[in-house]
Amino acid sequence: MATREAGKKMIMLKSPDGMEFEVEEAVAMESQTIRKMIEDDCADTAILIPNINSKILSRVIEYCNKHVPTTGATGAAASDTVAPAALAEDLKIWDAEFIKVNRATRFDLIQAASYLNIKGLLDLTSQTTIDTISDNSLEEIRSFLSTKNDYLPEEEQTIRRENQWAFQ
Amino acid sequence: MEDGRRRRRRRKTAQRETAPATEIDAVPNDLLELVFLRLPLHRHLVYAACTCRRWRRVIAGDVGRFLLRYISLRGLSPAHFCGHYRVDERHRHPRPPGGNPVFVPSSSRWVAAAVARNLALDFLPRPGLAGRCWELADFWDDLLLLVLLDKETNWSPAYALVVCDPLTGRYRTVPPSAWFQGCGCLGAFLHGEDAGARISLSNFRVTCAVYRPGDGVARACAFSSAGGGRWISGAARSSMAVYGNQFGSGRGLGPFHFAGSSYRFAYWTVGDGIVLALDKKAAEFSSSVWLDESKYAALEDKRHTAEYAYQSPWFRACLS
Repeated sequence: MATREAGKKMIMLKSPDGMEFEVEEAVAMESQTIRKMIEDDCADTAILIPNINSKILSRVIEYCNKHVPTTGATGAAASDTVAPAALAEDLKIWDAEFIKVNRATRFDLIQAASYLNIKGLLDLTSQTTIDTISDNSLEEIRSFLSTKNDYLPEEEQTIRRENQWAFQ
Repeated sequence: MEDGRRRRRRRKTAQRETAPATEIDAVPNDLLELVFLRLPLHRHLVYAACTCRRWRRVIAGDVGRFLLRYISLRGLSPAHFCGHYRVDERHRHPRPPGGNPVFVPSSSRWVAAAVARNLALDFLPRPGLAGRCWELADFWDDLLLLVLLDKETNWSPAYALVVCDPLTGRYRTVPPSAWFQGCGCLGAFLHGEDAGARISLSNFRVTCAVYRPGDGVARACAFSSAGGGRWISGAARSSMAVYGNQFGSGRGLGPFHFAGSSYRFAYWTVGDGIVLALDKKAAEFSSSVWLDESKYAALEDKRHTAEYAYQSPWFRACLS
């Protein structure tokens, strides 16, 4: 186990639009992609995160900050006094609040989570879309996700008929 | 003031044009895949694919690459969809195993929940006379071929055939051919009418192999669903005299043993080292003599699988 050091190691993350974010190494390492860079010693001064603008990157960092294991970040005291169940509950509420964003942002977050390889964030961001598809009728899926039905009526009939089992 | 109004109008137009496009349409395929991979049931994949063409391409296109990934993530293979028909085992018998077909849904809870349907063949017409039963004879894509036979005797004529779709419970009856008179059924095989067109209840062919102990003739009869459906006979090699010590006596069961079936041919051993081959599509018989006795004995003694894997047509279509 790593003991706490006097100064935590900081990492600089740069977005392509020129913003720089200084974060703790532990927070940045929530991303498996960045973790690998750090472990391979490719992260001396700053890491450029391509394709993720500052708005999305700041949200991702916000997420990682919240989800970084508490023992390392805030010391042993926190995990001693707060029950793990309560902590998980708190995190869940926080996640629900965090994901209240519009659809475009959500897909940007999915893309970021995918590139940075942050499993928890990927699960969280895909869940809304998954729920939409699994809980609604075809028409509702289309209107909630604003996809355009470009099937001809007879084509759609054929698909439905061939996959009748799925619609019962 | 005028300037402000113009700007507002411009913004409005821009929003209308870009709002739908920047969202789902702009999401790259690999991100859609990431989301679809997390869908809990494969029924949901069908919904998603029905939503629009592009989603269908992502899910079902590219020779099933996505689908294979989806099911392998769940520790499954295409063979797990969506179950199989188990039939009574049979050994040294003139027909392939097919008695008493029972649908066994995939043992995976995930698939079982997804399918949530029992594809029992209870929709078939009643066998009529006591002692007769439907026997599962063959598969093609998602259609099944069943033959009505006597339960007790090995050497039963085919009284009727049906081609059915177990998912919808629809079936089509194929009347017996005049050639079946006095003949024992050696097996019946189903295939699509034409390469290209998908097999369906209005587009299929059946080849039925029969043997008449009276004169020792094996015959292949072909049925085509085209033009309302009829038995086509007359292929030069559709019938074949099978000579042997045991034949021609007109007594009971010959030494026919079903020996196996491939995409194109079905085989029987008929004793004395003779192997009878049926070209299923052309409905033609040919025979050959096997000189290696031990290999022949092994073929005669071959045990056949008593399970027919049945996939959901959705997966079958995507993976083929």
